Amino acid sequence: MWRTVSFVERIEVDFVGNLFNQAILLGDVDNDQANELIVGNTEGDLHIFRGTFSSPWRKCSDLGMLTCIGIGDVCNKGKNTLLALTAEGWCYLFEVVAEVKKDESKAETEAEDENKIILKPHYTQHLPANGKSLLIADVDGDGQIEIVVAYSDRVVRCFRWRQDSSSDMLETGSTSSTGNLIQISQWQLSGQIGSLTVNLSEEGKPELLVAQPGGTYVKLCLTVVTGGESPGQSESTFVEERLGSARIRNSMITTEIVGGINKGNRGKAGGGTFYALSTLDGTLILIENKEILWSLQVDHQLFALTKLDVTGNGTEEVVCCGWDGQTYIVNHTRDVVRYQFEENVTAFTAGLYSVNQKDNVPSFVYATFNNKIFIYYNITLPRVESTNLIEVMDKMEETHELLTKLNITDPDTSQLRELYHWLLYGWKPDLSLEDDKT
Amino acid sequence: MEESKIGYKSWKWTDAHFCNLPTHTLLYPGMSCGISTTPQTNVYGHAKVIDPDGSNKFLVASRVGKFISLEYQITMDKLAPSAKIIPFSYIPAGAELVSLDVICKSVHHKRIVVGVTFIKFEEESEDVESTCKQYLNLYSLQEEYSGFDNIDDCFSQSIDLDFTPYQLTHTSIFVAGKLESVFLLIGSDCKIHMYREVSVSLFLLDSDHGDGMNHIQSKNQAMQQTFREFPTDDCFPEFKDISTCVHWIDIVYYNQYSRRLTARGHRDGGITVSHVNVDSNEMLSSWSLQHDSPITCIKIFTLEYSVSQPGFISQRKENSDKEVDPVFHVLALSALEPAAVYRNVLSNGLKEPLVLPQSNKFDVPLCVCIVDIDFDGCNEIMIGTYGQELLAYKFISQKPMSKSGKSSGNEKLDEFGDINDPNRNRHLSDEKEQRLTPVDIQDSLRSKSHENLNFKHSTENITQSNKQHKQEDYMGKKCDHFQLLWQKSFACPVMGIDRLDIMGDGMEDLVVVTLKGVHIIQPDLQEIAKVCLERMNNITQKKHKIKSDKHLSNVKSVQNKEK
Repeated sequence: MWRTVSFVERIEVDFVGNLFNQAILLGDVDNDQANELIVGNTEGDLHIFRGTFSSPWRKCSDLGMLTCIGIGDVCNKGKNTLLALTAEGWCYLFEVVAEVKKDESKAETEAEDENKIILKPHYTQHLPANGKSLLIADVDGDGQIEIVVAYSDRVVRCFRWRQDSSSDMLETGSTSSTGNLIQISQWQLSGQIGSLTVNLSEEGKPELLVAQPGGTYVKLCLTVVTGGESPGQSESTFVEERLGSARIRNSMITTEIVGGINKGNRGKAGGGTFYALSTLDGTLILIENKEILWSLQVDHQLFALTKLDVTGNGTEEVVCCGWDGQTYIVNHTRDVVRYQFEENVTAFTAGLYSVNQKDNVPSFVYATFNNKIFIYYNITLPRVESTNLIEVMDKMEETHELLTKLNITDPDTSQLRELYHWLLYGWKPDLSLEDDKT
Repeated sequence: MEESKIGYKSWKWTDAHFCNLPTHTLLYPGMSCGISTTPQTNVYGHAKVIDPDGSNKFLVASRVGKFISLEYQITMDKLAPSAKIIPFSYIPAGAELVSLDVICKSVHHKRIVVGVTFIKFEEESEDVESTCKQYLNLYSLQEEYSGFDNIDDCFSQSIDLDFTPYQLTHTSIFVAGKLESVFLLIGSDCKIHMYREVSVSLFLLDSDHGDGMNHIQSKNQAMQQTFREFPTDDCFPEFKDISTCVHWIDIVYYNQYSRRLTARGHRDGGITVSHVNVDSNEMLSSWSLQHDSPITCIKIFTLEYSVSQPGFISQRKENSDKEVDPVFHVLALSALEPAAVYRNVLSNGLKEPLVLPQSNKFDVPLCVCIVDIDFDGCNEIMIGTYGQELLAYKFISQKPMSKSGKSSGNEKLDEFGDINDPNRNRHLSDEKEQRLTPVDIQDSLRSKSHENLNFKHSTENITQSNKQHKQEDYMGKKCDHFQLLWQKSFACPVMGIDRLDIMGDGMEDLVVVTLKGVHIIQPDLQEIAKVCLERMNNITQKKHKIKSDKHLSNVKSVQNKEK
């Protein structure tokens, strides 16, 4: 049986409306190194929560049907920008300014306060409609951030921010940044797209992976197009990857993918990262360089797949959540910890969140169907696997040396148990020993 | 030095495992769409199963009579928790489980007896009002048991009860010089009922077989072990004349089973601690005290926790004949008041209460566990509350009066000042005439003449010095207190805590039973391993020193001989 834990400390925030799993995100929007929670619903409300407050810190409404939210250095300025994408194709960029700490709070009227929390997009552009998944990352290794959007018509488009925009682009709001998003590449895939991710290959180069139905994925190759003025004309290729897995039960099942899972410093020194696939019928696979490291079959419908370093040891665990709130934390050696959230979940994400506005702690965020979002912020575990003191001691070289010094050779479990029990509970600092009378 | 460092380190205890109580389908059972709930447990609904092999188990039952046995197993070289649903027979559907206890017998052969009390509600009919019947079911797992796997083969018996059962616990009694485990069951009839095991010929099982004392305990196949109720007067003189309903009892034997301490907590807030001479079966002394709210739990404990050295470390002979009577303290939890520790009851009775700070801040404190959680050889107090908190208290002794009196010590000092209010007021009233206590009025009346005034001054000086003296006394002796070491929140009210080496590694894990599940919590094992290594290092150094000393003395003696 797998280990189960229970998390208690949580922040409860109010958020009304339906939301997509791609429209919930933990990230640093205001560049203060402390992460916030950003959520958007289908009514067009975008809320930013921070700290332990149950009401939004910043909000924006009437944006349209928000499907995806992303945070990244979209404009390549070294600053995080919030990007919100609607089903209608509207793409909003927000530059959120961190709170300036002043003691003039008393002087401000309520109306000003109300004004302060209203967020306005500083840039708006109409992109092709029906985007369902978003990735903001450097997918081709050129140091520039790309915006990759997957559409419900099985198309993936890649955009890049270009400074000095041409005048015919729609532009509203502030004039602080002039530029626009231009499409640099487009792929037409055969299957519905689950999610997008970027993974580091063995050579340390980023590769763009797209989840395809039935627990498969496709690697998209971005050909560098020079002078690509007219979008959509560049040659875009992709490689379909075949995984030698017979465990996929349904070839049409919705699949999620997450890449860039940090291996930690143990094991091979080779670069690259792991990536994981999950399907709605309960298969979870960890892959390294097209090879399946392990796969796991559960009887919960896994819809959200993320990665997070839960143990704080530098390696990232795979975190997977089912519609019924069952959450799996799986490490690289296939040890599992489960957590059962008590309600059905409409959206889930795992990441770093700042409770005290100073440092970020690993957190799980569950959005429920009851207009509440729960942030569990005290989820750090010492380890994923179940172990006992005898096993932990056995892994330490010093133990064996000391045991031989104590004339305990080849100890059995009961002897070790007695020894450790006495060491922990019977120990007196002024302990007197009498040697064997020989 | 090293000890103090470790002693005040607060270990972070985290979930090693959490196990839900089995879900119970309320509506449309048998269908996948049936509505199911997780039934709750109560404060009496758990017990530990100690196995000399080290594979300890924890048994917990939900209100509807579903049992779970929790243990750790090694499967495919990996340690994994395992929870099994135990189908105890003869527990009817709709029964409401009250209490549960396990007797582990490991003297001759491994054997356990599980006792379960439950209430069965009778179906309501037209002319009869709904009634309920109470039962005590006992399950004897006779053979070499491997957990509860062969529960179907166990011998079970059902005893009708004519009272509502409360806590079911067990203790030992001496019968003809032999130690025997018995079940004790608290009843709503203000009595404590004792159930002893007797050997009965299978043919006689149904007939009335009174005298089990002289019965030959043979392992003949025709003989069967069965439980009977016996009067408690012969063994427990302290259970005579109980006037109100008891909620909790705790029994401790000491001095090689020659003395016994029994603590009872009553529904009306009364607590009684009895000291019994087991050999002569007479009460040596008894102390009673009244709290203002029902006692939820009572516990006799010692602060010292000693474990004898394993034989393979050194063949040191324990001088057991010089055994000192342990100092027993009694902890009483009452529903609305802070928990109180009555220290050294054998010499002080219930006179010296120490309050556990903040223990009433988290709803009703329900359960208690005495365990050494920081590995310094001293026990700490763990309290579980209905307010979903687990509180850990450490005893801070102020005996070696140091400069580090700290704030907590000062608070006590203030309290002391309040206790001695007359003294203090008197002192103040001399400076401010407004605040006059009756004593002062007398004084002022008396102090009309100049002489009297002088006299008064002198007496005041005396009282002042007295007060100072007392204060020093207080600081030096009585300033011991309990300090809240840490607290941990749970998702549900805490119903029970127990210490159990469930992983079989020598370290005692805490088992916390909440309303809806069982948590096994443990500190970071990496840190514990460090402590173990440090201490092992210490021993090897000492051993080495002994060896070299011996060698030195040998060399010396050889040299002397040569001379």
